[in-house]
Amino acid sequence: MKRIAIVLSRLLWFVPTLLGLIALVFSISHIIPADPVRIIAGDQATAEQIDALRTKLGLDRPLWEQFLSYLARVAQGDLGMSLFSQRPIVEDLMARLPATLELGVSAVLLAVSVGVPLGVVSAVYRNSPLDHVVRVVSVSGLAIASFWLAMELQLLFSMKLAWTPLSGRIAGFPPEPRSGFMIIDALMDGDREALDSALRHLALPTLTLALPAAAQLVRLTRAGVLEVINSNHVLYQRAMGFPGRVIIWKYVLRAAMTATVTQIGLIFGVYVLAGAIVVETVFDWPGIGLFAVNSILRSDYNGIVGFTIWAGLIFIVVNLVVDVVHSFIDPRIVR
Amino acid sequence: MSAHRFTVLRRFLRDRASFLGASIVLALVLCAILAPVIAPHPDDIHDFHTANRLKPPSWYNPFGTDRMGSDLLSRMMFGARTTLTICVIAVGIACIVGIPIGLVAGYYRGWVSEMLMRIAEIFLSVPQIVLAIAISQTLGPSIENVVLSLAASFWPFWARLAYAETRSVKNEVFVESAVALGCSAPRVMLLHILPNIASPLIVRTSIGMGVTILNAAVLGFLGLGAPPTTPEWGRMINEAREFLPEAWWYVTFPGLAIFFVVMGFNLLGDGLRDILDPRIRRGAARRG
Amino acid sequence: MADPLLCVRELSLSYRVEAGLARVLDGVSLSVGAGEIVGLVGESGCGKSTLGRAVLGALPRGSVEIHGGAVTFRGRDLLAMQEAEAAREIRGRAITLVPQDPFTSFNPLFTIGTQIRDLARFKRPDLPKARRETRILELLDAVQLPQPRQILDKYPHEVSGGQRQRLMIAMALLPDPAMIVADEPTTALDVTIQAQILGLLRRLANEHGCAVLFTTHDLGAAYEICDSIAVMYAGQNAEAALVGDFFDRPRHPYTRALLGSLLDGSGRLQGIPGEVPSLVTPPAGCRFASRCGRAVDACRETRPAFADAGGGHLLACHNPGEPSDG
Repeated sequence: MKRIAIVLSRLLWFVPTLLGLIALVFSISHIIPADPVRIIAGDQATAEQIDALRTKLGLDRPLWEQFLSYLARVAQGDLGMSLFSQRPIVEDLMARLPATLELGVSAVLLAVSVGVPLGVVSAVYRNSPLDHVVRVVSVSGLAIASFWLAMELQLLFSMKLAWTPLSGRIAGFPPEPRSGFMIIDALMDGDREALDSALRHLALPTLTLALPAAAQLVRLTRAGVLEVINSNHVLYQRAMGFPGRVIIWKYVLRAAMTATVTQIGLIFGVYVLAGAIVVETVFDWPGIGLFAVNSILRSDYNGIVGFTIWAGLIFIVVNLVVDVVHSFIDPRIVR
Repeated sequence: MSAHRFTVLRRFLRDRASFLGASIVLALVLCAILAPVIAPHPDDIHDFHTANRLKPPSWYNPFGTDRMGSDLLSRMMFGARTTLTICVIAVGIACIVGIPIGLVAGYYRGWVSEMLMRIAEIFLSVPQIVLAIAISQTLGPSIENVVLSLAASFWPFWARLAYAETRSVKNEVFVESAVALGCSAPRVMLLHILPNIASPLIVRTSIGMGVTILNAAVLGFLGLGAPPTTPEWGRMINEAREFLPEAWWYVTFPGLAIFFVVMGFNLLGDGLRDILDPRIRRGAARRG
Repeated sequence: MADPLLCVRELSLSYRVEAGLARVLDGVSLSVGAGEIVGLVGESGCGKSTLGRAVLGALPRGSVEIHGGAVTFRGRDLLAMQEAEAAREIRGRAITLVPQDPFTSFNPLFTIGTQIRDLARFKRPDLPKARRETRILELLDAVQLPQPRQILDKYPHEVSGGQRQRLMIAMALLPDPAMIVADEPTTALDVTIQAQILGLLRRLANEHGCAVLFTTHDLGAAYEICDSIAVMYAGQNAEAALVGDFFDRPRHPYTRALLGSLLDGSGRLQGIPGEVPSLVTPPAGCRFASRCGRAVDACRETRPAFADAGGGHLLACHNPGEPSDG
């Protein structure tokens, strides 16, 4: 019962936060010094044509009216038209979503499966040479600019060694697009070549995206484990001869993760979601990040605004999910 | 006596990392200030030598040359100037805006506090870099706009941190006694609360500089930063893209600069945290 | 007389602290017979908890130095034993623990049942699962917990302090140990419950033929349930005797001062003047000398031997009181 109350209260904050975000983005896009109508109309337009366009786009109405109608459209899932492609932005975003998802999920999986165990081992063998190496590497991982790392990896593995392809998601004939995930679709088709190609294409972008996330996970897990490892319950279990691996990997890890699980939402948003922007740019990965960058290059304001709102939505949802998951992991919150 | 000596000694040894960090930051500042003096080819900031373009590292050009033939090392040194200016001002603005808001919101209760923090939450509902991109894109590429967009995306972190710290300090006895003695609210906040929450704020400044430098580099990489001829590390790396794989130095050295500088600030921040250890309220800092 | 179950002989160890080495135990000896309840009494910092942990082998590995002595359990040297074997055979199996704070000794994120069943699974793998489950419920019953099945599904923060300690006792008995180390088991409990828990511990230990090493700073509690009592001061032995002999004929000046500091009916509380010495720079000889009314020169030079003063009454003192002084 209490759990439902928690979920409901989070949802309650979700709505005004989203509203606030839309208001924020709306106000950002309307403090443009330049006149957007003039830009859309082009250099050749006459004054009458510009005015007509302004009326047509509804940009001559008072600001609050514009905001309300924009809000209404967003509520219906309409993020406006891309100034460039003339397609609804929502369509563009949805078409590119699977690519970003595949990259994001791979990166998160890699980061978690490497970062968490390393963090645990680093904490258990505190101050050992391994610990020092891990700590140095994780501090370094957070200081590296993703786009730079992407390019260096590309330079080494794609250009010099030719182990991985330069860009894109796949070479040759792509598998039947069922799930939108190249890996899954290739597996379902039983297409070994496509699977190999997809994996090679996925390798470097995933690595680039996973590194800072893994570094942060290592630090968080290490700190969490260190905090727990001197607790009385660990002492008790050691005194009662529980096997070390059970103490660490079952009891300590859960306690350590409880403290860090709310941070995972942040990690996802900052490193993976935002990191995807530059990584997709460098690797020409046809996802939402690339869409955002293209919108930037083409001065497609609607595109940027739409992307920002969409990113905010995802971020809010992820944090909501994380909060709910947290209440499942830590029984003290609910009961 | 001997116990005290041990504590100071231990802190000094642990500070090996923060010493390194502080050195790097100092080197960055010196580089930025003295760029015109110590750069090997200071005129390359505005002069081109197209005959010299894309040359690999040599004695004459230790880091090679860029697409305009300018000495990369010199441009990088001036780039330190750009980076430092942008980031110091951006973090400064974010602090000046965010800390008072957090302080006030934490001190008072009621709907004003709630409103202020809700606004901060809204800014935080998008990843920082996304917001910076959106603002930057809207305002157009210039240094002022970069500073503005970075500050606008960073201030809520400060507000939230100041808020959490103020809340946890507010109930301490020294605050109550200051109020009882008739201190006005602004006085209490400024003279009593602020000094006591300074430690986590200082630590956050150093680490925040690191994050801001990375974000500024991303903006530069995306072409949203300073105008094209301004030396800026992120922009340099973007320029280098089309000249790979031959011009490896064009990408590698600016990126290494970013790496070392951010490392420096991170190490300094970690070291500061260790030194200021007993005075940092871990709980509040984590919530922030 | 049969060999004692546990025999600690001249154990000396130190903790590494910032200021140097804290000599927590200095040539301490102790013996516990099979089924015997021994009270280890002393003020905070006297080393009684450390001794308990040393017996369990639960000392913090990095920061402890053992200078000498032996800990023999069932004829085997515990200090020389391989870590893996000790963890498997001794800890939680032949010797178990009832900890001081039952609340923080449970992992708050797992149900009580999960933690008890894990204990049973890892420490009694010889029993089939069903039999383990039955045994758990039997023991929960024996410690007088209401609704044992429901308790297993609860989280530690959902049960009361007294119930948690009963659970701890049940868990200590679960592996069918030869000895239980009860480290100040009632310190964290309400006064009203303390007597109940102690009585329960004694009764069950006797029923299961289990020895108990009971550390406490409360002489009254020790009197209630112990067969014999050993007193420590600042890491050294002071006195040890069967409980009756101990309370009728205390001979060590410290023991006498302790007993005298209990309300003696005259309504006055007599404290012991002075302070516990530093363990990093301890005085030579007997560590109680600086506060002792009966100190002689020998006391400040050599540590008195912990020897039989007659009838199994052990004493470490150069100048003890006469038995008749009482």
